[in-house]
Amino acid sequence: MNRGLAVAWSWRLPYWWRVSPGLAGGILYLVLPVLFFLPLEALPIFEDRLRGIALLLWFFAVAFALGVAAKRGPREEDSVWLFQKGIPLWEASVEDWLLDLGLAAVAAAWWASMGTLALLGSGLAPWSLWLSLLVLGLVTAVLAQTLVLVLSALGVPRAVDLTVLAILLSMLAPALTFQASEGLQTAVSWVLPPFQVAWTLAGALRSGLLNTGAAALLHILVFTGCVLALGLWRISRWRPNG
Amino acid sequence: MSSSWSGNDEREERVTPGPTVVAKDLMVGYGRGTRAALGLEGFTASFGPGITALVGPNGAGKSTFLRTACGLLSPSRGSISVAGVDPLIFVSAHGIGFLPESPPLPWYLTPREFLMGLAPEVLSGLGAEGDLWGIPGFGSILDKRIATLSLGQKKKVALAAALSRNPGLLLLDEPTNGLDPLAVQDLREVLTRVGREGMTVVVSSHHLDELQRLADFLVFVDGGRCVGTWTQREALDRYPSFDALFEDVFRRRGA
Repeated sequence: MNRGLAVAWSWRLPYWWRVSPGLAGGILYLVLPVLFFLPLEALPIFEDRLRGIALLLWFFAVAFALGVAAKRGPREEDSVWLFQKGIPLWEASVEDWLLDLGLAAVAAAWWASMGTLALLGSGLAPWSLWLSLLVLGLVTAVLAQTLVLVLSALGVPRAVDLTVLAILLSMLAPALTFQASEGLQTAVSWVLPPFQVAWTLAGALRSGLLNTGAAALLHILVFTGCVLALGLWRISRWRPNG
Repeated sequence: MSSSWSGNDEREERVTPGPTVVAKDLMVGYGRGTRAALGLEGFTASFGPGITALVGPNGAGKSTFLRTACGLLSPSRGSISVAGVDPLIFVSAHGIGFLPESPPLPWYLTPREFLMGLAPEVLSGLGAEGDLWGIPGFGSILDKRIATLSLGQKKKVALAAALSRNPGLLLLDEPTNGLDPLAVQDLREVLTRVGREGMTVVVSSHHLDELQRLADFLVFVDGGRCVGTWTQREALDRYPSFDALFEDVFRRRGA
């Protein structure tokens, strides 16, 4: 038996509306891009305006994905019903994951549009700028929500906290391994979630470096595919308490 | 399952009877090592169409049996089958109805959203008077947040969820706990009807007076084993009430 996305939607939409991001959260994420129009280049932590907007957008994507996906993985309150109706729990998780992906895509498109608007007249090509900002936001959100899914499925009680730690480690990895051999650096980059690689992909898209972009995209897809498969395998073996 | 719920509370006759659940020398445990505990230990019994009451003292293994019958727990020894196959296979292919003792519900949904998410056709069973498959009082709660419902109303929603997709097997763990007398009466009417229609219903409860009005069969459980099976007629021919039978069975075991 299965439910299909249309039916899964009838649970996920109220979840977004009433739990996370919620109405207030939704309005906040809608309004936050106003920050893109501030003179971010005046702050010493940003190299330039583009870097400032990209960093803010990246931060929005992380916060948004961690909030929406916080109750990810096997949930007692709905799993016991899905299970008894013969609806595979892994399938319901995929449906939720896809719906969250759709919501993240809408949010990232909004932030990218506002970011592009804020950078009009800066000499950057609007379409490639919009695409690179969209991809940065979307890939970051997908990676974060997939990590929460797999950690929850593995039974980690504070999956969101651990995901934040994994993001931090991923971003610091180049600094932590700069004196290590190239082999070790490569190994570390494949083990840690590729949040850093999302930046490489976005930069490649903006600069038209197709080979670099394709390699980064492949890295992200392989990592996400493997992690998602592990999470779904664990969920397929999990049983609610009832 | 060959029949389906139709409009209002009219329900088509179940063409095929509910499945038979057969447990043989069933052993089911919890935990590992020094913290391991047995829920069932050599449990043997079978349950067919109609209403069977699972009766026994606290910790006898009733809930463990129900959870094993719906595939939530796996036996470490012995076997259990539903319609001749492993419960997991049966559940995957046909679905069942299982009402846990404290049913977990997604608090942020309304009953309408919750039931629609389980089976989109579910609300076609909503009658003109706000009853859902004969469970009254749905009209006024259908669009309220589940978090705001009373315990009895939540149990109604959970029962409707268990009955969705027209299961052939319905397992109920202490369904009357926390319900007022009117809600208990409503539940009795629903169960009596689905039992008559041929659904296999297994009810675990301590309310023997209620079971006496409801159950066609009695299975006594103690220490993880089945310690006696009776039909309602046999029981009431020999004892004035289920209470008297219960007392006799468990007094003798304790003696």
